[in-house]
Amino acid sequence: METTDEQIRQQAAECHARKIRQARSMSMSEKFLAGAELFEYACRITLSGISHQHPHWSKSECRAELRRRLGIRELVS
Amino acid sequence: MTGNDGLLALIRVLNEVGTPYMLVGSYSSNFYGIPRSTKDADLVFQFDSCSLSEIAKRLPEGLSFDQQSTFEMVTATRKEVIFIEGSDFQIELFHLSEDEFDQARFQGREKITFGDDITTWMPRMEDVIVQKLRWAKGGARSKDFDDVVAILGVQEKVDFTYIAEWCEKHGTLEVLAKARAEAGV
Repeated sequence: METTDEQIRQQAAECHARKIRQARSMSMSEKFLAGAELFEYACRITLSGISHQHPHWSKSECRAELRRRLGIRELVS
Repeated sequence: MTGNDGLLALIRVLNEVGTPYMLVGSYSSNFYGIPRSTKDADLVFQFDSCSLSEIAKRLPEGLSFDQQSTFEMVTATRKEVIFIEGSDFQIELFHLSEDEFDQARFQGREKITFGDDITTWMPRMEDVIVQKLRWAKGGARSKDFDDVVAILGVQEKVDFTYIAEWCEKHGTLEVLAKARAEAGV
């Protein structure tokens, strides 16, 4: 059975309402720390994807590729 | 060191030095809205070269200033970057600008204490919305628009009169109306 536009809109609204309920139930600390934690989690997954795609690359080569994708400049000291 | 370890260490240094600052950007919208991933923490400072060198001197091992101060195109302000050893998360320090709203937002910032011993400064929730609407103007940065919709959805009491006054000055009343419609408030 095909999903209608109306069903998709309804599911999106339910998903948004769930996110709001979840945000309201989080502590101040959890909300404060979430941004970087989610980012670092995503980095770990991406790094493992890079490593899978390029099995011969060293850890530092994989990290350099991750930084390139993120558009991060190297430290100038 | 994780991104949050680095940020909390910097916050401790800032509180010790007594430099006026506030956390802005996605950290502030995560705080008032629906948390999302972010690759950096943005802070606005009112500092001189003395406080900057004092901060640099007190940074713990694992945190280092990028010696190359840069100019942020979106906000048209100077910024300093702090790198965190072992993490791709970065901390960006923006100099407080002369912009009327930037000044008002900074003056109105609030001290927030949570967790065991974390004390920091954030803009008021309404000021986060005003700034993000400014960035979202003309569809320039859709994530800022989404952040506003998220804050409006989570927060139950919002001072729309205050927000509309600034939006009128910034030419963002239309974006505000669109965000309110999307959030259903």
